Amino acid sequence: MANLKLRNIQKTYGNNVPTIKGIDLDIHDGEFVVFVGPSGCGKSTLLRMIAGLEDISSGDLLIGDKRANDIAPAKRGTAMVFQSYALYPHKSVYDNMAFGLKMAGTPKTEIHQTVTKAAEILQITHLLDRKPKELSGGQRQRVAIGRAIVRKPGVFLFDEPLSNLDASLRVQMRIELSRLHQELGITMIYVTHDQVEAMTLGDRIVVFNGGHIEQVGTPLELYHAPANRFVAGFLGSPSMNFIPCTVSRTADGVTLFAGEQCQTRLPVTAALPDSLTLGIRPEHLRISQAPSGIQGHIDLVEHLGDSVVMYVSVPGLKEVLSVKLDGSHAELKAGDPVHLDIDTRHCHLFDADNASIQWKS
Amino acid sequence: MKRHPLLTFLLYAAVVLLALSIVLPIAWLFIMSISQPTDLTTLPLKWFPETINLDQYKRLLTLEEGSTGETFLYALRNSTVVAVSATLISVLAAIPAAYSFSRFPGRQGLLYGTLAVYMMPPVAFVLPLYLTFSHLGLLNSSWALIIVYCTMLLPFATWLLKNNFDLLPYEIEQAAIIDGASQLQVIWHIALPLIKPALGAALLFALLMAWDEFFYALIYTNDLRAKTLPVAIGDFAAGRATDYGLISAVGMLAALPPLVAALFLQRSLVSGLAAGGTKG
Ligand SMILES: Nc1ncnc2c1ncn2[C@@H]1O[C@H](COP(=O)(O)OP(=O)(O)OP(=O)(O)O)[C@@H](O)[C@H]1O
Ligand SMILES: [Mg+2]
Repeated sequence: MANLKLRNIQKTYGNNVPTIKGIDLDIHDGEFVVFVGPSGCGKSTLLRMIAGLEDISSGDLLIGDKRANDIAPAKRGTAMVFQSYALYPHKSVYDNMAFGLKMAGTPKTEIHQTVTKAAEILQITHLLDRKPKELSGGQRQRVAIGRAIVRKPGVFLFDEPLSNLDASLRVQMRIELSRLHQELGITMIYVTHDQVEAMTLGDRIVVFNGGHIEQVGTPLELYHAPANRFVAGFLGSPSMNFIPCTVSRTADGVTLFAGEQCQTRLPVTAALPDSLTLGIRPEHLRISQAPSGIQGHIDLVEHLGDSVVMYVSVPGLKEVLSVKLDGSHAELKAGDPVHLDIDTRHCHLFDADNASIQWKS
Repeated sequence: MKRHPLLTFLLYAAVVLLALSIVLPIAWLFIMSISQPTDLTTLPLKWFPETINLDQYKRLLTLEEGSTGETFLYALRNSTVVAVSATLISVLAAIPAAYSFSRFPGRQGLLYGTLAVYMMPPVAFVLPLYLTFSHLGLLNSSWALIIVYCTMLLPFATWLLKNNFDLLPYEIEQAAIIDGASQLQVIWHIALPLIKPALGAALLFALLMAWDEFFYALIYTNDLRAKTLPVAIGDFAAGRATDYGLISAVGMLAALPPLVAALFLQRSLVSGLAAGGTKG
């Protein structure tokens, strides 16, 4: 078990442009932390620096309160599961899992016990004699996890471990990972592109962008109180609608105005800039019966069974609004006029610098 | 898919042609080696000997002083010593070299440098090497040939192995590093087993190159102590009256060791060992 402290961690590859621009992060013992962010933002690089596969250009990495910058990868108490599995193709499943222990000079009987136990946990006992090429993708991933478990790491590092699996297997493995985390209680850092994985697995989520952290928080914190427009737009599917508005004051609040057919009133008492961006998630837009609020036409309807997503174009707005409704709206079709209400409790406001404005008192 | 009969025919014809072009010369060599000397010089030629004559082989497999057999058997020994030593030394040195060229970029200049030297014609080196060996007192010894052959085999083996190391997914090795393997252990436990086919090919080709080398051997050796088979065969052919039967018997026997090596190594030449470790 171990906690992790990252102090102003930076990474610069040969070309002098920093890839990781000063990361400060504390990860508690036994926590499940998920790294998300767009492709190329440096998630893998940071993970590999923690594992010791990549040099740390500057800053301090503390694992279990010990500076680990210069400790060899095998001695850091970390174990990594690669996206590509990276199993040893010429070794049996048993030998794949035993290799690390052999390298450490563990006695044979102890290796046998540890590997057998890990195989039981992962339900791969019947596969121990096979070679990786005789396994399915899900089984390979389990072996890769098994190889990490037997080293009894303090910190588990996963780099998109499930992205090669098909959807149903992913759900299954996700649940198993969650169970594994509860059983072992090991600190886990998990990189993923999958929002559902991020929201369901993570105790906390770290949102990266361009080599720095945008926000750290629990899944619900990030969902309900994104610190800025990037985080707001990154989490949630379909992503949040952003409407540029001008602000006009009224007696009991403000009216946000984005063209003749799109205005909404908010009971805001705080000071607001004259122009800002209103953010509203698709699930917080409702069809209204009264001809009020936002008027537009349906561009496209997607019936997903349990839910309906429609895209509405509104005169005066550059971008179409996405609206997520429950599955009962089977009658909606493209071309229909529609009136939308905004659930004002769930409005997010962003200033010109894209930072979130606190307006709820 | 059904193939056109004509195409099938042509395909088989091509295969037969290829097989014949390989087998016929060897078959003819064998027939010559067991024919009576007179059968080989009569006209019209007798394609199949009436009696099998093993005299040539008997003449070759004796150590009697001053005999043809002595020359042959010593040459066989010299060839074996030189080819096997040069091959083993080269491939052993090529493994870490190739791995280093493959994994640590920035050393490419050295690799291309060695290859450039490798491309130069042997004639360019004969004289300087001759003088060097002469100073070192190595002329007419197997050591001279082993050293020279290493300079030929090492760049070749390094190049072949490097290209195969390049194809290995690096993440597998990084997994091994996290598992606590040192750099040498990574090479030994992970990288080498995965390029086994290439390793077999490197060993085989290096052995054949050394076994067949004629030019340097001709110049740096002059008697039983170091002369190799190609030179010995050349000597047999250079007499006033060429003894065809004898030369063919030597040819047959000289082809055996590489053949055995090939049979032995071909099992490792099957590819596809790396499949399954990673997605892809
Ligand atoms: N060895 C390297 N040399 C130079 N630049 C590199 C190297 N490895 C990665 N980079 C750069 O660093 C940046 C971050 O890469 P990284 O692999 O960490 O992204 P990522 O967040 O994991 O992306 P993805 O989600 O696509 O996996 C990228 O712009 C990449 O081009
Ligand atoms: Mg990545």
